[in-house]
Amino acid sequence: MNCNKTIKQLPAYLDHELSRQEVAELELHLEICIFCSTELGALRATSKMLDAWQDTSPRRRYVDSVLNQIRAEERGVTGKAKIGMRLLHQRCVPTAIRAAAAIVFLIGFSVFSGHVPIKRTQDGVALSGVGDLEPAKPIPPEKYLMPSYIRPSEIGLVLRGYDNRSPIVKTSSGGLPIRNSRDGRFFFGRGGFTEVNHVYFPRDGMSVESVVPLELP
Amino acid sequence: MKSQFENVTDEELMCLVQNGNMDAFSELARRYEGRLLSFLHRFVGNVTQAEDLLQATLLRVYRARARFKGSGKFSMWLYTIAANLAKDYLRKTRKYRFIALDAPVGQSSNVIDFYEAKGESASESAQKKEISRLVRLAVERLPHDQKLTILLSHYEGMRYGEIAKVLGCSKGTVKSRVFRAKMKLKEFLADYLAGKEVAPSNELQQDDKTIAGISGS
Repeated sequence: MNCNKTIKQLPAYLDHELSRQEVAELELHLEICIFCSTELGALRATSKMLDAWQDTSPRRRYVDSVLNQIRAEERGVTGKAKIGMRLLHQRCVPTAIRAAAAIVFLIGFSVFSGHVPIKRTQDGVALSGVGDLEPAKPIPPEKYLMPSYIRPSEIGLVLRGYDNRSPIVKTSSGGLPIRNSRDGRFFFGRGGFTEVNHVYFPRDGMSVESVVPLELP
Repeated sequence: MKSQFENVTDEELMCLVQNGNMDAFSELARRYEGRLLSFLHRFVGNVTQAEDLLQATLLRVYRARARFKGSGKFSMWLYTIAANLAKDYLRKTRKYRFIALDAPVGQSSNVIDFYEAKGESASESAQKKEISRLVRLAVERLPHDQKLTILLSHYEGMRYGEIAKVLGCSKGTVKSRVFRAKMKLKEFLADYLAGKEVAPSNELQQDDKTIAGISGS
């Protein structure tokens, strides 16, 4: 076996995907070839390093919402409105015009859909969805930070919303550094953060989505 | 409390699902939601989209339950569905890329994170995060087919033959993709493995350039 063939077999060797005969031939070559042995060591180290990428911890039980959707479908109620809004979030809008159209569509949809009212939280975020906003919940100042300074010209498109308190935010930053405050909100721009005391959150189970431009503090 | 399905195989559960047993479906989803979320998060690089794709996968599994053949392995069928949905999602979004700012605090990727993991010193936490970040960036640089193959092989522990069935290609193709991917990862991570100091990531700037391109278009 030559070096070229050996090198090509190394990942499969480490993954135990070679036949006995292939393993025997490869190990024979490795005993006499420092180059291939070194390459094997490097691949082993690479594989070990890959382990450092940790698993994602589920933030909730997703199966519950899936079961709810299945039950709703079986009752003949489709979640088309909600899915439509989610799809708009998923599609990446290439231009500001299309983004604006999405904003108008979503807000318009929310207004005319009748059962999805728009609510504005104390911190100026427009939310559409079923349910009420929770009263202001005091948050220790050190846990919630607002940007103290953002220039209007630095503001790009912000798509934001909540899904059971989990913020859903996508934004184009226009090339600026992005920060997240401790409560999971996201801002971009230059300057520091100042503290605020509280903010409204949607109630548990309230499924809300919104598309709003980031407002200046 | 022990589950009534504790000793029931995935395939047997799927058979119950085919007969309309929702508890069996719930059990199947519970078994896989964590693994599947990690897989999808690693593949699409965005936890909210991964959550959406996870729920879409579970829904698809339920809707297509009649098409599952008991002779096959459920996990492979499940991953085939998940991989196809994720590939569709990436195909739709490949042209324009938004910075996804939905990582929960402590797992944020391209944002400035103010948190540290509990029970770890700042330096340990920072080092772990740095290695994890380097691996993530390296894997993200791989072409989709190689990335998918590595995720299934390294993180999901699938055999090449199983990956071939999930991806609908030959075992030789899988072997070749793993080889190419591992060689690239070795190259991408070479500086760290050689013990060199790794310069702070310019990931943010790269992302911002992408976004700036969108905003300006």
